[in-house]
Amino acid sequence: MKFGVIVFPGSNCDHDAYHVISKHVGQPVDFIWHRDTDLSSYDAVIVPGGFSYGDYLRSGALARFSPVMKSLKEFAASGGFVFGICNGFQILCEAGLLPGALIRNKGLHFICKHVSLKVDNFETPFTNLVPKSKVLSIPIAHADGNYTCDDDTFRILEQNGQIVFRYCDADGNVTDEANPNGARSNIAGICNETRNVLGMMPHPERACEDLLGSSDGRDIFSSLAKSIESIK
Amino acid sequence: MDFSRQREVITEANRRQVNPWAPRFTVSKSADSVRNPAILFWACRGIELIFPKALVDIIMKAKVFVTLKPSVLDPQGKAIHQSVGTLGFHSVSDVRQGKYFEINFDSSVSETEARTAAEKMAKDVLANPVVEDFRVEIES
Repeated sequence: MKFGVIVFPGSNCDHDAYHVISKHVGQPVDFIWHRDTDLSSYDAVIVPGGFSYGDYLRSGALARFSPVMKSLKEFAASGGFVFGICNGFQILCEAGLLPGALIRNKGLHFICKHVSLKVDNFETPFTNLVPKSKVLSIPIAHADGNYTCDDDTFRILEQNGQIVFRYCDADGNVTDEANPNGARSNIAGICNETRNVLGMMPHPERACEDLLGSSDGRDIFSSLAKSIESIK
Repeated sequence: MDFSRQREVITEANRRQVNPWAPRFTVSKSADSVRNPAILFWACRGIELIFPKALVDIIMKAKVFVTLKPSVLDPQGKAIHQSVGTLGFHSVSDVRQGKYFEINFDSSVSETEARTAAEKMAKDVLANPVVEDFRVEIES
């Protein structure tokens, strides 16, 4: 089992992801420079958070044209696991690997705080080890995390169970008050139809050690590791 | 006395001293061409005859306007709306923020080509079709 973490100019959560995979998941992991195009040796590729290309034009818009992205599309199409976190989620949406778009937060502020997350679908490779009753506490840190999509796309997302995480209160109730950024239907993370590509705005890689306030992120990474193991 | 004229004569004399075979008259040297519209006109026609494209070439500029779709919330526009209200512009009913791009093409590109290229760029890069619309104007 091997993980890869893509590094774009401006990525800044790449080392966090690397640390979590090597220390907590205990698996080999490589950094993948965005100009590299060979992803054949990896089982899962993480598109980390940060400010790729300085967020110029739109968040994630320019990273889409990096050479690695063509390979990443092929990698995803062949069933490889792709996990986009924060800016990584924005990049996956811009690249068309996930539907919808992430626009400016409703309140305009950059928000950096722990939020509560409700897992909407436990049957994905990224959530199958999360305890059913658990409300995850994971931090967000973004200015453009307001998930939006048209009505048809939303209907498809709901029908297919592609909505994986929703912002909720501490008791797991999905309410408007618990929505930090104005995202449609409190959406914090979605997957593709085949469930091998996940994008989420919260940072599970920043919540893998009790010292940091929460280790709930480990559930997600352990799920991914288990899923890779089960298909190998 | 016209001193500039005198300086020109001296320069011409010096030049002939250095190179006795230098041509007696030069077109571009004298500032006459600028002063005399007729000379300027015929000089330009001369250039046009030698390089027919030089004066015919038109440089295309595409202007691309990217705007949020009407259904998409624009918190930045709302903040600006509030600010202009504070400034005293109370009759403003709405403000929407967008992006504007100027794309210059080189002289080999026709108007149709410029429009097609700019529209493709707008669709693929400049705008995100999920949340944004765009409009292209071509200026030559």
